[in-house]
Amino acid sequence: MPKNDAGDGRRMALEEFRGPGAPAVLSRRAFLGRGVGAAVLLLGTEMVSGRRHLLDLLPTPADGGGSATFFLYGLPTSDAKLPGAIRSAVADGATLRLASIASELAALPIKSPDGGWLALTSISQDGADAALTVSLLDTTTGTTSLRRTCKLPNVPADASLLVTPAWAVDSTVLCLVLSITVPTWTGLITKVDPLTGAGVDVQTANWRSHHELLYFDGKKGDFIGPLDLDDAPSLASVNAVATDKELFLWTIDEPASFIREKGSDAAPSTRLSVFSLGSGKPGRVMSAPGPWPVNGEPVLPLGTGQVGRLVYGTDLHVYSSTDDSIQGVNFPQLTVAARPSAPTIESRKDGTLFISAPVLGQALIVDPAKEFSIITSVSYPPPLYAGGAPDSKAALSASGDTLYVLGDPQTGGLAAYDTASGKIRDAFASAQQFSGVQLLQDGNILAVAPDAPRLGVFGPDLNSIFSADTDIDVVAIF
Amino acid sequence: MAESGYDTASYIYDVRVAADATYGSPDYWLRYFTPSPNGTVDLGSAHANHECRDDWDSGAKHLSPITSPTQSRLGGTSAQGLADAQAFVNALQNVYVWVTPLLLPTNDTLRCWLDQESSTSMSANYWAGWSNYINGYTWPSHGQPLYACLYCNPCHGAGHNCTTIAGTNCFAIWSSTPEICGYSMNNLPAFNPNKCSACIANPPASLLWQFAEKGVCSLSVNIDMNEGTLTPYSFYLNARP
Repeated sequence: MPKNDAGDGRRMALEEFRGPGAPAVLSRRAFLGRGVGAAVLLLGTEMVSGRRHLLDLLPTPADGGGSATFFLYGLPTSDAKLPGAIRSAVADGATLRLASIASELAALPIKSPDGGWLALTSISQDGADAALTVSLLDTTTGTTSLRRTCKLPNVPADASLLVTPAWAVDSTVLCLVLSITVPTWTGLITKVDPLTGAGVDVQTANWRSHHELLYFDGKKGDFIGPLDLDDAPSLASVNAVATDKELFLWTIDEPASFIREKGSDAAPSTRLSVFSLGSGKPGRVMSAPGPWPVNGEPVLPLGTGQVGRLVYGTDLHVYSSTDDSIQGVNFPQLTVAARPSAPTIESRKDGTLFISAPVLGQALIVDPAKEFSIITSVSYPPPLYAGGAPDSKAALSASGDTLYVLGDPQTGGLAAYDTASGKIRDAFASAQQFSGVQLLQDGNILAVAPDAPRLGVFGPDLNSIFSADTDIDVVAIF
Repeated sequence: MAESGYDTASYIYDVRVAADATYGSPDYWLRYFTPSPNGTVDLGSAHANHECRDDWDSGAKHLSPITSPTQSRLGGTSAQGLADAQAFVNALQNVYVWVTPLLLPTNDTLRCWLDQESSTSMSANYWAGWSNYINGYTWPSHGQPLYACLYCNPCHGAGHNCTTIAGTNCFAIWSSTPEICGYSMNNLPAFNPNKCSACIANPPASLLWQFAEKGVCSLSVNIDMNEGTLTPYSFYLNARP
């Protein structure tokens, strides 16, 4: 049975709160009297304006100490031309304090394996002087602990720079794969709009990509690199993951760069290069099965010392850390559906893996130490926003006994499943459809929505604690 | 004249017999290409030929490409958009080379769709990187035949869908709304997709409509329709592969 009904999903917490057996609308006093506090939204005054650089925005005032600090990454609702904004948030049950940290990040932030750091990257390109800045946020306080800039020589002013970060397992070294795409020829053409017949000016170009490596030592604050891999022409996108000693990097030569006759079967295949951390020369290079490394394939180090790459949304490829052997593991619950399914995978503290496939309504816990056997499988109705951002559509409690997922399209809200029985245990029904869910440090549940109010915080049994809005459309939660 | 077809991340050879028998024979298939998490046409030469063979056998003979990058990327930088477009175009080229009878439209105008799901906000930077690469790409012996188009829920949510593409070279919208169940190929509804004109000025037209989605309408595939503006701007097969 639904536990709560949040009404039309557009109210703020101070205006309305409903609990089990409670009146539809509680006064603030009654609200506080229930011990759940009220949402007080304190948005940082340091809002982004214009095209300020990351360096101008850091650090934000230290004001940590809340029971749950988290970070929201996304797109400002005020200006879609300023992607990559990040906000820190502190929720203490009565207050949600949001602060602007940075904008125009070059890549999705990445949390260190020990959970202590959130690495932010930004790029400045001023004429021929390109530079990359790494900032490490303390995830407890939300403040910047370290910020360093590395110049990137030989990057033309018109180059397109893509950054793919990967933390070493011991959280000391941040590996940064730079995809540098340069126009080798440009021109202006007129295309005809087939609908209107009108001509429109279009810039045309030939682009050529290669990769360079940077290693950032988070303890020393030093960079190694950039180290040119001399692999042009490649596709810009890569898959990258690091162990405590090595960087695993999947790349592919650009297929269109090969002259092929129609009917030819020829095509390059994905290549895995394994680098010792700090090196620009791979110790091992091998052909890698599976798709091109351009689809956001989840990759992660396994507790066994191996590296996993989830491909096609259905199969886990397990790479040895010592030789070229690859083990393929198929999970029958993960299939190809009418809509693309992009499962996520994460390591748990006990070494097991949590795989979430919201498009299919499937969640698995897999044990690498037991030949990747499935130890828990939960099926649930795929939610309305199964396929859109953010990626986090399901969360496990710390003990692993409860799975939190987005509610089904009819009821909205959230649902909690007992992972032992696979049966629904609690639900929060709401007209509001959430798009993402995340477990907070204090055991509470954060839900995000594409429409205001975009944030909702719930207790472990899905009692609504408060809702609030933020000034970004949430792309990721950390 | 109305056309209709299927879109799916499932493989045509897995679903087309049942779909044709249940909902009718399509004029086209809208199928996924890399980058997409799965269900792509471009897995390999044999697979691409198999897909196109069943496209032919279904009676469609036209193939319209869509790409579905990891949705969090759409909120990113222009470099991310360019990288995704680069991978997409390479996937198109691969399938074009692998499948001998698969040809570009005779008018050298191929609509290329980017998937923006309902809860995804896209940055103007990403769209610029993606669409500029698509629109400016030079295909050997065919000039610049690719046209950047967007699948989205027009004017949904915070308004980042159509507002993001306002004033840019986006040549068509494929609307995912409204969903109306109870219709099929042999019983099409009146063409009435949601439009970007509800939230921006001078918007690209909604030329394609996904009026019945598998999940909402309990189908085995998603069903789409248009007013004769898709097959002339799709890949086509001049023989059975």
